[in-house]
Amino acid sequence: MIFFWAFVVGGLICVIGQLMFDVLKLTPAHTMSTLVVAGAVMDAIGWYDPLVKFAGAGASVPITSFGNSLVHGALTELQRDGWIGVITGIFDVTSAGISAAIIFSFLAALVVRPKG
Amino acid sequence: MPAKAKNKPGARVKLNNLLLTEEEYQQVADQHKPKTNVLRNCVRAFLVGGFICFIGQCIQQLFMTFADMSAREAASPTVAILILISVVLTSFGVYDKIAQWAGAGTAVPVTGFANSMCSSAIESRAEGLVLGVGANMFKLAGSVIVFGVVAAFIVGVIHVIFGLGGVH
Amino acid sequence: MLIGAQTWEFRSKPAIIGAATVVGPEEGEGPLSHTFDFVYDNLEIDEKTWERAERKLLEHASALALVHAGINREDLSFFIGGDLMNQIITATFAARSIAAPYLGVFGACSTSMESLALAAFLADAGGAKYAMAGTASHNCTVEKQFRYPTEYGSQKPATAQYTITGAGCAVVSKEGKGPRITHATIGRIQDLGVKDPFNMGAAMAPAAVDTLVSHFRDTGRGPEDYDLIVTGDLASVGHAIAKDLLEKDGVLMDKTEFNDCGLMIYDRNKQTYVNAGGSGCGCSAVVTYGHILRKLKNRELGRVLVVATGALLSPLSYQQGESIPCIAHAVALEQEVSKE
Repeated sequence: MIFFWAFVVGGLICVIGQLMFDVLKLTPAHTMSTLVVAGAVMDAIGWYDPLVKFAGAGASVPITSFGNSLVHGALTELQRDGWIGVITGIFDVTSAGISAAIIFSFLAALVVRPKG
Repeated sequence: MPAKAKNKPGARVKLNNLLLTEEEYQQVADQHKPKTNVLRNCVRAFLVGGFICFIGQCIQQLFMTFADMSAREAASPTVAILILISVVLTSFGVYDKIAQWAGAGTAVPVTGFANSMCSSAIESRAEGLVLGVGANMFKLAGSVIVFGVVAAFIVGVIHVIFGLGGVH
Repeated sequence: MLIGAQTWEFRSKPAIIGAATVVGPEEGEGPLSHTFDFVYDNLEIDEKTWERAERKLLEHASALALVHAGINREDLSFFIGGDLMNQIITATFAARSIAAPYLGVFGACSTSMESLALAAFLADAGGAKYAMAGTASHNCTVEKQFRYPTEYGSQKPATAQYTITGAGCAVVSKEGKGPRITHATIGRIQDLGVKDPFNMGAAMAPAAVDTLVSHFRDTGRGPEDYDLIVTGDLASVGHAIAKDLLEKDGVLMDKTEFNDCGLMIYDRNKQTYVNAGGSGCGCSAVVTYGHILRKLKNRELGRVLVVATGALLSPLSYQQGESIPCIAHAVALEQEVSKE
């Protein structure tokens, strides 16, 4: 069942992005930045984690989950280390994604030329 | 007759016998603009975006079954695999073709984030590894990271101020 | 000789004694493929970077143009060139190979006619024996500089245009045979507040209309005096707007054939990736110096007016929320008068 909801929820989040492109006429950069902040806000009010439980990858794959992970990192560290944790913990959870993107992109740039 | 320099709003530009304000010209221009098929784009975005998330769910399930991870633990390697797939498709010059069709369907999932970094890196190789690849990799993805981090910081500060104390 | 407010009339009617067009693979798949002098089969133009590719196109076209003109490099008085790159670096490096005295110009996609007008003026006024006008564009260098990395997955709207990969050069002289340049109308900047760099056609249409109308007013000619009038790269959206504005203004363009180089160079039904049509400095250059010159030479066309249009934005001006100022330059060409 979670596979079905992953498809549907993931698809719906993408539809929101498409509407931001076509109706609000936002650039991809503006749209993604807005979605990331939306994910952060949703986690702040405690709505994103239930969505992840319900839709699995449908909530954890879109860029909104990036905002969710950043907030998670900050809040977990806040609880553990006090107020300084708000800064020190931010990249804890997202480290895999950002590191992977940097490393793989760098390797790609070594071997591949753009095709146009 | 020389056309009026662009200055005040509502100023009219003279093209031979035609006098047009910017707003009037915008109306003319909009009449000739091909209509974006929003419904078609949304359907495409839904299908492709949903499919990518479905693939993500399959990958996550594989990690949970064969690497004995919980759902939360499996999320990170799943994202890493999707990023790898995106980098490979970008390197083969295929990603942008799919994206023209799918729109937000490829841009909104983490694959879009990886594509923005990979395409910038590949393109900037011509300027060298340090000044090209290194300096330009985050040209498109930078705003996502900056705004995400700032938003997370603000959320954290709010938690501190209102004594909410961290993870809920 | 200045006539009217902004038009030069060239009394000696300098001739285009030689020209050449060199394009990339996608242009070689379009309806005008047989009119180009050379078609490369790869987008890299056998070079390591996109920027070098653009430079090679211009170098190749300029060398071929000199051959067609029957003159040596040393005989060339001036090279007038430009392109879309920052600091018109493509034209600069090409000028280095050409080694003639060099005048760099920036008119974005109107560079072809801007440089041709200046070359004709020099030749007519006795300021040059042979003057070469040339320009080039490459799809990937423009995407990289003005928009997004070429492999980035952004969804282009239907109003977006496709920068052509190609270069065109023409050698102009008072002596020699070839289609004649009779007039040139220099445009004024027009800016009606369009800010969308993915809808260049709408940004440039007013400039095309203004220059066209100024040309008619200064020369006393009308659309009926030309067998063909082409705009440089308004493409489907901009060309329709221009037609609309001209009609509203009472200029009867149906008395001539009114077309656009950006629409002529691609088959929009087959090559759907070009969206609204072609654009770029090379667009008006390769269509004019190939297809149109050919038709003038074999007398299928008697008189042609080419109105090249340019959007003069910079990558930064767009990010800072500025609108897109545009310009259009027109050059009138005539077939060689026969000896009989």
